[in-house]
Amino acid sequence: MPKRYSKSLLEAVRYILILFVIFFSVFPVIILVLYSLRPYQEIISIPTTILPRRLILDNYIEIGKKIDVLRMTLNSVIVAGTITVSTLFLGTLAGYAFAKYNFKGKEPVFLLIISKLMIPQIVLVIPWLYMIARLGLMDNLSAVILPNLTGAWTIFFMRQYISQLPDDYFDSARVDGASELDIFFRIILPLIKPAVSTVIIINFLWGWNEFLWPMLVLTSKENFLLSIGVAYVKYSGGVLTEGTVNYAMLAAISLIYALPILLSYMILARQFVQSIVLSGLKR
Amino acid sequence: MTVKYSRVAWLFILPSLLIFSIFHFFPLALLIYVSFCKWDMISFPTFIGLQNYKLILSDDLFLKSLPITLVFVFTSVFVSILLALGVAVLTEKPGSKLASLCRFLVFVPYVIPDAASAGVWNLLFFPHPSSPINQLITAFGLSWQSWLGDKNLALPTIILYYVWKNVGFNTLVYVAGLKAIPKVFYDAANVDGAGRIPVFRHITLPLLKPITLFILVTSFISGWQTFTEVYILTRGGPGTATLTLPIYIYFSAFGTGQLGIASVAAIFLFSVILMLTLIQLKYIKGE
Repeated sequence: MPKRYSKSLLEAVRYILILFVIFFSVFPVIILVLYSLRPYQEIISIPTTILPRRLILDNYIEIGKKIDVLRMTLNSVIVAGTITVSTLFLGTLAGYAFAKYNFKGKEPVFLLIISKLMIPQIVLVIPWLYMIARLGLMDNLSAVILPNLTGAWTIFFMRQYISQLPDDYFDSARVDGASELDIFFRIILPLIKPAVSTVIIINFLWGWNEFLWPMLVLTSKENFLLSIGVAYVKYSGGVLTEGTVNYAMLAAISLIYALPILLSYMILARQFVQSIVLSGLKR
Repeated sequence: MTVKYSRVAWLFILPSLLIFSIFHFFPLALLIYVSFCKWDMISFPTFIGLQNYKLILSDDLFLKSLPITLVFVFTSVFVSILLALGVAVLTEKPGSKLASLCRFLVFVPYVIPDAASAGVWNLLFFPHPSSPINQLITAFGLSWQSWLGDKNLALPTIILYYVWKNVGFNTLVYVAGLKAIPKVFYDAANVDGAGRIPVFRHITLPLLKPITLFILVTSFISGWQTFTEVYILTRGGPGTATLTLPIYIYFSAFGTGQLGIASVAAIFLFSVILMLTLIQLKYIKGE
């Protein structure tokens, strides 16, 4: 009897703790959504409430007057999209070569490529700024895309994945006279669909996340990405007086920036989780 | 394999290798070179030997940024790992709807892009009596705080942010680890009549050690590099309260234009990451 009692008590405690973790994770996001729909005057009135009295779209309209949100969204899509497509192609191609071909210098070249993962972006941006200025690509979206046209993690991941495929497939295709690129497109790509979706998710997330380098190299408003839009509202467009910011507007721009990712996560939760755990080793 | 095939392989690798060389290896070499130079990014760098390295050792802000970065990295990594282990154990039970909902939701902060999740934290903790968190704590009878605007509370607020953001990722890695533990271990313990806590301490925890080490090192590596969120939340302020190393590098390079000491600091950061990676490699090989 006492043992049973303590077991159900333990279950109750477990449930309460789980509910607390849910609250801790989600409360900030709910606040974000609600506050983006409230007038600034309401959220700073004393006393105020956590829940809004009425919902309005004024903050979104205000932002639209300061910056071209549609243009920034388009820029973010262009940057993340190009990075994803290019990395998928070039990264998979290289990963395939490391997995299925033998050639001199294979191991050292692979190690060299992997070592790229150790270089933090904050270390690279000083020389990048110099190089990009020399190339005449300042304030140009391609400056953000160029360094990310391929990815070391993608090469690593694809090598692991493709090396598990049996060699017979390729050998028989070669006997049939298929060219090496044919083999890549017609045989490899269809066989590695799950890996392709992982690579797409991860690279798009990383591209969408880009912040420091775009902030340095993209200087005019029409080239901003959504990530820079958040910093812009915080430190320039949304500043009311020295030290105070229109936090309702900050909430609105943060939500605009996060929404596509949040929605995709809701639809593709399982794939997101698997891909991100696999990507473990962050850039 | 014939010569023809090895040529094909090189062709497949070449584009990636070229991009890495131009945008990663060459810039790193350039950075190391200019760390020995006087340079303004416009004129040609002039060699001055170890002067930048001497200069940075007497740079007040650099010396301040080191303990701040250490406190930030260690505290936030340890707290988020401990919490993640707890959440993983709580929610690992298969079949429970609430548990899987919790695993789904705890990952939300990690999925949100960094600048947006920093925006969320900014909103929660804005320095005003009516900000959401201040409403909560004043409801409990405590007095309101400036949080990110307070010299003593800014760093803890950022640490709390890091925990909120990263617990989900660490939890899912732990859940994967817990699922991988063969049931026989627990069956044997049950036969021996061992209680829950001893089983956890003597069976689960030791078996999770490789996972814990993996999370520890990758978190250290990403923690040292954290830039976006600190920039959006405080830009290193108030004063120098949250001046982490990446923020220091950013402002000394692009704020005050001291490229020499900025590149030395960047090389220092790179060496830290290099060391952490070598530890990780050595450990993975050892396992």
